[in-house]
Order: sequence, then structure tokens, then C-alpha cells
Amino acid sequence: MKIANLFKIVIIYFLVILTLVILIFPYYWVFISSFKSTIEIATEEPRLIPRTFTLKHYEDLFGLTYKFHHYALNSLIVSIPVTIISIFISTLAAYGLARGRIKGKRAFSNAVLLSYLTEPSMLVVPLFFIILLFGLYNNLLGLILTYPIITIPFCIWMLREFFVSIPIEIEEAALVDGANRLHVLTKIVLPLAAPGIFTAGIWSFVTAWNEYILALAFIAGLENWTLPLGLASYVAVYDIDWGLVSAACFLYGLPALIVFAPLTKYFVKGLTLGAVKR
Amino acid sequence: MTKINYDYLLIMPAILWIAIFLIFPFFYVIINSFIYKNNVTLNNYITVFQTPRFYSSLYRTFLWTIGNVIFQLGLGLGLAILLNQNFKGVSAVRSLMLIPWLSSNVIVALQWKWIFHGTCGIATKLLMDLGITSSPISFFAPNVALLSCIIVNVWRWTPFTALVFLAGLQVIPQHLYESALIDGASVFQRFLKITLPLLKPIIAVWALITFIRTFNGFEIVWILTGGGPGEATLLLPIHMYTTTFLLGRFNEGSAISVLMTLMSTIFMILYVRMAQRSEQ
Repeated sequence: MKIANLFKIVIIYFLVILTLVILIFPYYWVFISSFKSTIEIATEEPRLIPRTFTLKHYEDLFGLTYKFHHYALNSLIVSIPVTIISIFISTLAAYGLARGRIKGKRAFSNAVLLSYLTEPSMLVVPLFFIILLFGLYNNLLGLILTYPIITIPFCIWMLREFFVSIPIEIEEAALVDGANRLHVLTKIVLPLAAPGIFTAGIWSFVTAWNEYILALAFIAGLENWTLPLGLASYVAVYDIDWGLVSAACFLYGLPALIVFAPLTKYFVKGLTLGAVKR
Repeated sequence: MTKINYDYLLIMPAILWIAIFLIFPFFYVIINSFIYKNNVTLNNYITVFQTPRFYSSLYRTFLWTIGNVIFQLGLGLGLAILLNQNFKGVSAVRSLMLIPWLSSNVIVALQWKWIFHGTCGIATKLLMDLGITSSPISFFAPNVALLSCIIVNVWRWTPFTALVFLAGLQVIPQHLYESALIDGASVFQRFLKITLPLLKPIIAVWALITFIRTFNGFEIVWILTGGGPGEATLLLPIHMYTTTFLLGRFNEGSAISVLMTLMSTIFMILYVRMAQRSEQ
């Protein structure tokens, strides 16, 4: 019995370590590649520990050719308003779904589910016509207006769970005292739901920060490129500088990882959309 | 005097946004798909159905989707069971599972394009060092490019799938396993008779979500291969994108887009039904 147990533990640790290596290695590889000299990358056998060390790729990124900072600024110009719009719309809607007396609530929540399942690639051609109709081709405002349709459904769903978990008695007491719903929402519920709203905001920001296909279709000029377009352009040349690409990936991915890390527990629950009952 | 119901105001902005940026565009694209040179016609659909690329990309998309669904769910379930064991640092390992999901498609595609690089890539080097292959592998050669893309996408989504399944495993009452143990059921029997049946609803829901997401997947493959070499990884969304935006054939592209959405809609409706059932 004891030997069988030991055997089980060894197997478990072996599998866990294998999983972690497969999971983390690509990030390690990108990280160290960003410090290798271009000559080492192009001419020598790939090594797990770099022979050379240079910050040249990071310097190049912020130079006139690669303009990482310019694309980062564009990404911020898009992501911040998208976050604000998403939070505003989804907080109201989620509260309405959780507490409101609304006819057709079920139809509305089905519509939200359907929009959640709609992938950006299904939206790209339909939204392109709207962009043309509004005269927003090659305009960052076009991205600001269209991205919330990707972020809102998930935010509504996540926030609804949050509102439902707040004890209803507090609100009822205020309603009896003659306050209307909007009043109850702003004065009583919002402070209680702040962590959820914060999480939804971060999620919206990162989703906008990462979005690629809509930007690819709606933005033409280099001066309006967001970061994903800029990064993709670094590998669209014949002579790819992989050290530079690695540095760009690292700088682009790091902020999202840092802001997300403390909020992870909310997402697993939210993304299964009630499929997992507690 | 009747009291005004402010509750409708709450959902109004969301309804407006969904109407303007989701429902209206879909109607617009449907109408557009039936217009060719200012006439209402089926011409665009006929063109689509006469293009061999449409069928080959559709076939490839099914291979890609089914490969992804099988590996993501299979490996995800195995990983979930592993993460459901008790070992030191289990909660840290669980949090680490979110990393590929938190990453963006662009980063995932770029880092794997680099790892799978034909001459300077680390994957080839490691496989040769381990003696698995004697000559360098070109991961994006026509015969294996689609498989390489599947590997990358499976890498991105399997850990998250595992977390979803893990959430399901954790609500299975422990006493079921204990009484099965007393009855002398083997590990395998316990898995087949307890774990799998109780996990079935989650597996079904997640299979649908994965199917829809993968069927419409564009970004990872687009950056890894651009649909090439030749047409080796030309999936339906890439066919739609190139037809519309690179060849500028907007009406034909609309028709492909409508067809693509229509095929996904079947699975989306199935999903909404399932979600409703679990709400009740």
C-alpha cells in the first residue's frame, strides 16, 4: 500500500512538472530571446541560456522604425474609452437583469448570451459596413464604438452574478422608503459591487488591448495602428528580427498579466456562464 | 397616477448598443449578400458555391475544429483530474493555468512562430537533442502546417478548459467516491460511473463553446501562416477575410460571412437551450 502511494505521488509530480514546463517554456523562450544579440539568434544554434546579452532590441522598439510607443498610445486611446463605455452599459444592464421588474427579461438575457457567443470574426464584415456608413474607416473612434459589443456581453453576465449575490433586504428597505431603482443602484449597490465592477473593467481593458481582427480590417494607416497591428507588422517582413519581436511580445504581454493576476478567481466562474452550479 | 418603471432605463443602453452594433449590422450584411451590381440576386451565393476554395476551406475548418475540440477537451479533462489531486502548491499551479488564456492571440501566435522557426527555432533543436528526429522539422510545411496550428491553439486553450472542468469536479460530492471505494470499484470504474456522468453537462456546454470559438478562429492561424503555404491552412474565416478585404469583393465576402454565421448559429441555439435548462 505504501509503495503504491509513493508511486502515485511520483507520477503526479512528474505530470505537474511536465505540464508547467510546457506551459511556461514559451514565455521563458521569448523572454531570453529578447536579450540575445541578432547575430546569436541568426547564426548560432539556439541555446536555452543566452551567450550574449543586449538591450538593443528594446532600444530599437522605441526608435523611428518600429514606433512601439506610438502604437501603445493608440492602443490606450482605444482601450480606455472602451473600458468606460463597457462598465457603464454593463453595470446598468446587469443590475436590471438581477433585480429589475422587466417584461421580456428572458429574451434579453438570451440576446446577451447570443452576443457572448458571437466571435469577432463573424462581426468583422457586418461591422465593416457600419464603419463605412458612419464614415469611421481608418479612425480610432471606429474601434472605440465597435469594441464594446465584444466586451459588454461577458461583463453583463459576470456582474449579474455579483448583483445576485448581494443581499436583497438592503435594497428592499430603501425601496420601501420611496427611493427609485437608480437611486438604490448608485447609493447602495454600487459600493458593494465595486470589486466586480473593477474586475469587469480590467477584463474589458485587456480585451480591447488584445483585439486584432477588427483593427486589422478597420484601420489602414500606419499612424493609426494599435499594438497588435504593429506587432504583426514586425513579422510581415522578409528579414524578421526575432530578438525584436520577442522584446515586443514581452512588453506587450506583461501589463495584461500583471493587472490580471489578482483577479483570476472571478473569471473561471464567469466564463462557464452558470454551467457550473454552486 | 401610475409609477414610472425605471427598470427599463437600466437595460436601455445595452439594448441600443446591441441593436446598433450587432443586430443592425447582421441585417445589413444579409441584405448586402443578396445585392450584386445594384440588383437583388443570388449571384454572390452562386459565386461562393462555385469556388472550389470555399469547399476546401470548409473541409479544412472542420478538421481544424474537430482536432481542436478533441484535444482540448481530452487533455483538459486529464489535466483537470490531475489538478483535483492533493499535492503541495496545487493552488499556485491552478493559477498558472490561466497564463495562456490571459495572453493574447497575437502573442501566442508570435511566440510559437518563433519556437517553430525552421532553422533557428528551439523546437526543432530540442526534438533533435532528444533523438526524436534526426533532421530539422519544418513545422509550416504544407503537410503539417495545419497540425502545427492545432498544436498552438490547443496549447492556448487546454489549461483554461482544465480549470472549467476542475470547477465541475469540485462540486461532485465526495461521499459518492467513498461509497464506491467501499464497494471495491476501481479507479477506472469510478471515473466511468461517477466522474464522467456528473461532468457530462459541463463537458457538453464547453464542447459547444469551444466548437463555436474554434470554427470562427482567425487570429492565431492568420499570424502563424496567413492561410498558407499555398492553401494548407486556409480556414473559412481566412477565406472570408481575404475575399472581402484583400480582394475587395464585398458582396461575395458578405455571402461567406452570412454562411459562416449561419453554421455557427445552429450551435449557438443549442447552447442557449442548454443554458436555459441549467438555469431552471
